[in-house]
Amino acid sequence: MTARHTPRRGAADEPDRQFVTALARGLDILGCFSASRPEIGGTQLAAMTGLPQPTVWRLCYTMVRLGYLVPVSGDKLRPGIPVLKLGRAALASIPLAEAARAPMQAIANRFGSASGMGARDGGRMVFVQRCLSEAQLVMNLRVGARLPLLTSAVGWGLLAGFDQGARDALIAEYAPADPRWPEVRTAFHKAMASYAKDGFILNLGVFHSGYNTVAVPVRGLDRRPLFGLSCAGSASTHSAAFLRGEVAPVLLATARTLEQSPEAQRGHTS
Amino acid sequence: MARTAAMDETEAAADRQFVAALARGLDILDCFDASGCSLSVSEIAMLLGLPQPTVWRLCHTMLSLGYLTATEGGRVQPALAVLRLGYATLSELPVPELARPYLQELADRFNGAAGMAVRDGLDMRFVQRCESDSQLVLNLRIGSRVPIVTSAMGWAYLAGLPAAARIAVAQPPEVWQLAEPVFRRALEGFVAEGFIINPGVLHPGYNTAAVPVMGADGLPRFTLNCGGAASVLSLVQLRTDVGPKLRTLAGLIAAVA
Repeated sequence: MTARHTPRRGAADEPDRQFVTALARGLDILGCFSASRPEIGGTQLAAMTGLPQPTVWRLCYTMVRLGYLVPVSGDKLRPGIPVLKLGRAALASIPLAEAARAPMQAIANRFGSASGMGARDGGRMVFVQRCLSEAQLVMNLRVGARLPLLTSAVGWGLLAGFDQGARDALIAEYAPADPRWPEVRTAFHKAMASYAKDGFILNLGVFHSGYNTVAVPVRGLDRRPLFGLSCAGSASTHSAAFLRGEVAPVLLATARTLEQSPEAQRGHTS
Repeated sequence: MARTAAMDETEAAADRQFVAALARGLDILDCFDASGCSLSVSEIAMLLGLPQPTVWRLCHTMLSLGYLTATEGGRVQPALAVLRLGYATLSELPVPELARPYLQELADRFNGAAGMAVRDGLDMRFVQRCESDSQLVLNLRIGSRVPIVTSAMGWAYLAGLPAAARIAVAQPPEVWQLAEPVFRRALEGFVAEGFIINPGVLHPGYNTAAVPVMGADGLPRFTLNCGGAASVLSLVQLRTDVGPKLRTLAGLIAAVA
């Protein structure tokens, strides 16, 4: 993450006078925390955001006062409980995420899998729903977890739903920032070709060896792909034949049901 | 309720380190709840008591960063990018871990120990325990149990239960007989102030304040406490300082647990 929020410039390279830089920077700081990095100190936040330490200190101080950050041992900070409320309100603006829970849990239970639904936030896929079966080898991903659009199974599921031109535009935009893209691009193009034939994407150990995934796009009312819907498991229980013959038909049927659900009519905001 | 507005306004204004623009932007995000509703700029301005142009600029900033999205009729709604704001850090933490930094801060600030417990039979079992450096704290840890009838944790649990349901867990009767009169007085404090104080009943010379964290079913799911040796932590401090902080924390946890 870098300091993107030097005063913004509009289309005519005029500074955007309405843009509130302090707000943007504060939110950038909150954005530094993740499940793999739950506690961060002030110096490191300054390094991560590219902001001067005194600025970071004031922004953090403000968020500590408001409860969005809490001090933890060793002069570090952690997001405070109120961020959960903010996130839940954001998830509530995606009605389909809640509607998908029951069918996704059914899929996870039936096949002993991990099922995920992701929406695109720039070059990332964000899990808006995640259902696991018990006692299986699954990747530790949660609602709110973020994976790269171009190098994740759920991202491929979404990308498969675009036409070639739109897909290429997304690749052109986000490939430069994704170091893994060059090594998987051949597999990606093969996967897209097989999608045209099958209607789903199979990922056999491309991102994690021994871990296989099937994924499909879920479309909005205007037929644009809005989500990637995936079902995954260990290669020992989720062979290509099993994913193709058993899981994919159910996943596709679930995607169709979701697309026709009342929640889909209420729209999606991404 | 806007967090900024909840602070003393003059205090906030006098505090030159406080970044008001950031606080107000977060207040705007805080206006939305899990109902999935959208709000207009003028509705937000009214909710927060801020001028419309201020709200407009803050919304404009968050729209251009993707934290808000525009819906029909010029209304706005939180968008996917809000999940970047620390959500995944906490979203699947167990509740005792969610509470840990808050309990540690209480323990440190009051030179005592703070914890979280669940009911287990006729006991309260600690699921979190944070101690200060003070050497005068009860020897309890995660997994330890204290009796419902005599402990602050237990009293907070009883206070959260409907009166008719208390007798079944306030056992054994011979102990409850002794403890009940003190509990009754403490319960008056709970009704008035939202927290309960156990003045040395579990252990002489050791005072503790505690609160229930209520579940959606109207029953206590967890209890929180903070206590210390009477020589370090007085009953007055428990009443004026510790208790209200526990009450606030219980509300915070109840809203998300």
